[in-house]
Amino acid sequence: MNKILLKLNFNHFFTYMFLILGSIFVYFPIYWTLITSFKLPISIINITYIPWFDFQPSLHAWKAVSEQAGVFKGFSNGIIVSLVSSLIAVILGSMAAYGLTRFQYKFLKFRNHDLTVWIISQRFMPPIVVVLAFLIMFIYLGIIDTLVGLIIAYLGFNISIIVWLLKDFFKNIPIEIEESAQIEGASRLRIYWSIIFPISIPAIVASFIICFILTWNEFLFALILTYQEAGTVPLLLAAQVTNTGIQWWRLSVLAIMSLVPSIICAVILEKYMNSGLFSGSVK
Amino acid sequence: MFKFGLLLFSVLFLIPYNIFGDTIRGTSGEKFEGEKIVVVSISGDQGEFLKKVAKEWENQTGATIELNLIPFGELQDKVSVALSAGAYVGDILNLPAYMGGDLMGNGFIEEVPEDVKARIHWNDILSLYKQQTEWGGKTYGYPWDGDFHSMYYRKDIIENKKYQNDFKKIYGYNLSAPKTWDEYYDIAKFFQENVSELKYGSVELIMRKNQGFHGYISRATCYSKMPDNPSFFFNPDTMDAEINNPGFVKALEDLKSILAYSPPDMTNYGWMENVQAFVGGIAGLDIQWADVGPMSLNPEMSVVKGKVGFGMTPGCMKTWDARKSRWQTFDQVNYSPYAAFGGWQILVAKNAKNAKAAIDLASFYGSPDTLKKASVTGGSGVNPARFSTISDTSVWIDTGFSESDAKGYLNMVEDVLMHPNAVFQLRLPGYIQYQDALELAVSKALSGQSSAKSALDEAASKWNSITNKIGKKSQKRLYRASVGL
Amino acid sequence: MEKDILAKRVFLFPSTYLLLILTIFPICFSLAITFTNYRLLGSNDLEYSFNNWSQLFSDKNFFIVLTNTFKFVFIGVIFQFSLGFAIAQLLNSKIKYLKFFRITFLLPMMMSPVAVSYIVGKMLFSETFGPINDLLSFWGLPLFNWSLSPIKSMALLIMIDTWQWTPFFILMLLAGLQSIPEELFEAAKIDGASSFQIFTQITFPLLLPISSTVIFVRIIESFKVIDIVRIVTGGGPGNTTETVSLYAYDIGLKGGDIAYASTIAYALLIMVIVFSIIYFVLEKHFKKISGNE
Repeated sequence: MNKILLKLNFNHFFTYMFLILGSIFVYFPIYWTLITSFKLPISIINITYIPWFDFQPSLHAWKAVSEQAGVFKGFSNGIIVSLVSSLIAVILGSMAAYGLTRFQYKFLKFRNHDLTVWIISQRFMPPIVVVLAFLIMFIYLGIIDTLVGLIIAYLGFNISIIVWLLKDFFKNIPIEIEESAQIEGASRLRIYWSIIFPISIPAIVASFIICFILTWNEFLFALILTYQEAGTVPLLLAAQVTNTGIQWWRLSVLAIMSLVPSIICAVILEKYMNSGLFSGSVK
Repeated sequence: MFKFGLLLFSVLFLIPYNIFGDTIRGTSGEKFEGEKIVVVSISGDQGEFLKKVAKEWENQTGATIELNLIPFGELQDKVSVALSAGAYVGDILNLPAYMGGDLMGNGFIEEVPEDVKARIHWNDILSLYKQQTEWGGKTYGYPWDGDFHSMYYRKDIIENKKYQNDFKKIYGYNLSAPKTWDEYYDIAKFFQENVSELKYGSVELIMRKNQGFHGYISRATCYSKMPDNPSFFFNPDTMDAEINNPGFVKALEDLKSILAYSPPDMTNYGWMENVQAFVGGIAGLDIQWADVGPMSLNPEMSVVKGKVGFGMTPGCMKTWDARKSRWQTFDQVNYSPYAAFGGWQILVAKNAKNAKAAIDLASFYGSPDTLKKASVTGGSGVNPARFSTISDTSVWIDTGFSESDAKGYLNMVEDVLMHPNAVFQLRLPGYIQYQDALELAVSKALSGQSSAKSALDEAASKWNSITNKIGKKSQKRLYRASVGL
Repeated sequence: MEKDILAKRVFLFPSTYLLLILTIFPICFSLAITFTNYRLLGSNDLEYSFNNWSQLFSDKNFFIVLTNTFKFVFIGVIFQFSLGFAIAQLLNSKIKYLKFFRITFLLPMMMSPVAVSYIVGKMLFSETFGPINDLLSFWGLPLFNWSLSPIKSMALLIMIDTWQWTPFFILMLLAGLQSIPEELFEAAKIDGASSFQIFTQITFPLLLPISSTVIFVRIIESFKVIDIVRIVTGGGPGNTTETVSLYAYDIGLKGGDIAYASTIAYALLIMVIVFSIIYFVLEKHFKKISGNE
């Protein structure tokens, strides 16, 4: 009996060790960025590690960033674009995923499976292939450097992600739930919104979060499709590279600020790791 | 003789300056109440300077300046892409002169009106830079910055008796500012090995996608630029690229050899890191733009105030003559300074929303007074581009130069800008593609990925295919015009 | 029935049409451009030819860049998968603070690649200001000077990508592990199977479908890498870490040669399509197998 107990604890010990080691790898860069945001330039040139011990923390970088033009705009743009684009994607994408599992479609020779494959494969599209065409399209339509333009640009990728994540989830919802409502004559739309949607909230929230964070962090489209008005947070980070060198302290401040949504998303998403969202693709 | 002419020139201009006060600032005097002018430039001090220095103009005209600052690495892409697709990106564009080929030649820039030219004393602009404001006989650019590379060295170490003795013992000749690249190499080695104050011998600009083209060409010029041959980059009759001739190859090999006496991470040094290495006292030799002068006076980063010597980039005793396909030896050193980068320019976009106000602001920027101020402000990115700037030592002394240093600095500027064997910035359409191909070759050779010869051969064939793609006939015509053939 | 047909359409068509516009048009447009000599800021008289494609096949640098991309993708995914699998196993055991660890390992994936590139690549690993080299020298270990070394630069890029995307593998593999019924493990233990046997005969085979899914998804997504490379190494030293997307970006948006850049991008697209087809075939195959069980 004791031997087994010992073995158990031994295993757990190693498990904890590795997990803690892994956590150090995750948190060290974040820690470093955090303390750098409080460092004076001189403390960056001489490498220092612990606040108050190695160096004197200072708020000069935080002050500078709060006074810098464009920071507030960048963040609000990022939030608006990510929220709206993910919201639209969730609505349209979840309906599409639902439709693909409940109805039979036929378009020319393409059936459900082919349509699903096509929609899901859109996430694989290298942005560099479409970005120039987007640019010309957007200028022609007058939506270049606007939030509307960015929201539309991200829809393709976002809808594809939503469909990919929700398709199997919807497939696993037993059809009996809907059948009773159908017999009573409810329209499919009503069935979807009043029955299916509510019970899928965990999965839908999780996929919304994933869309949100991917859009929040996207760089290439934001770089090419905006000039001044509609830039998002990754562009703010890249703009810290000036002709006088990289402004490390401001970069750290902005990086920490842009981490906040990331952390919130991670916490929320963790709750849903057991939602059956991802195991859908396993079965 | 020339100095007298310079003096005369500036005296002749001093009189109108005093009578017509407003002409110093170059503006028309019109008001543009409530209008917004968008100025596109690079993020950092240079961009911010454009708003700071124009506070006067904003007050005088009632207009506001809005900055649209883009990181240097993306500036050219964004502006090309935007203008190409007809989008509005700003009223005033602060861009490198080498974009002239693509922008000016294709109707994206508003011409400079004749009355503006008179107002801001067009003839005061140094001919080297005046030429770059023009394209196809018309003037499009407002002067802003005059760029060239020169050499900076630790005067205090070179004049130190002990080091002079040591150097003579080891190398057999007198220690002085290097005149040739061979001497440069010896002195860099000496600095690194025998001088305790210094950590490394020399620091140059070799980073790919970040000035590496200019750092390399600053060396390559004397290896292949013959005083009686105006062309350098291309063969003027066939338009074949010359960049893989034995002169260029030797220059690249010599550049590789100096890496041993340079900071080990120099391949990652941008413009600022390079300046910091020199004025921070780490390296004793620097090949760079003229910003080093004002920046050596800045107590926040410089430990070498008053210790900097200025000179033309080293020359060669042997130059490859491409017309005769052989090396030519000289009795006197063959110098060939390089007007690297060509300078930043102020351009008014053709699709500007407030053209009149933009032209007014542009003429403010290009006026002698503004440029004088800009040239002595470290971080503005502005190097002297006007006669009036370089003949007025008082401005320079005011910023902290000693009188002899100011004279030395301005003499060097003069020498370079009036040099008969100078190489100008290449300004053809597609310039950036040419630049990228050569920078890649330099990077490959310096990192050991290829030999110097094969890397340059690859770059040369790339250059030729770029030329063919854009149109050999038109490129040849434009190149010949730019070198005066 | 009429109502049903309308409902059918309402569900699927908005998404389909949106995707059609956002993908079919750009793809056709980009393909069309590859047959011209369109330049940024160039004249508008276009010549039509196959030049760009013939240039692609004789472009030495394209093949260097392609090899680099393959190295990055395949070595990276192998690391991410192995690491992800290991951590998923660890997270599947009954330990305390599971929530904390799960959030921790989810975090890197939620960060912006741009932020990660600057923080990890340029700050942490900076040879002059970075703590990594500082710590290495403090402990007497050899320094990691990467800017002049092709192998070390590539290693750094793979490290950054691994840091960022291992959570993806953890997420999916953990879900997979949790869907294996406990009874299977217990039965095996009762039969006296060693941990190694449990792993090779139960865990791994059962996880094969999801493993191949995630591996392929990551491979295809890694092909488009551009942010990390552009910010940390710029493709250097020389062009030993330059990837296909970056090559196309520089040629097209920096150099102005949009036509040739589109050609390169198209070659990338074709590769992505090939791997996507393999992915979907595999998925179908596994669905068939699990359908038969």
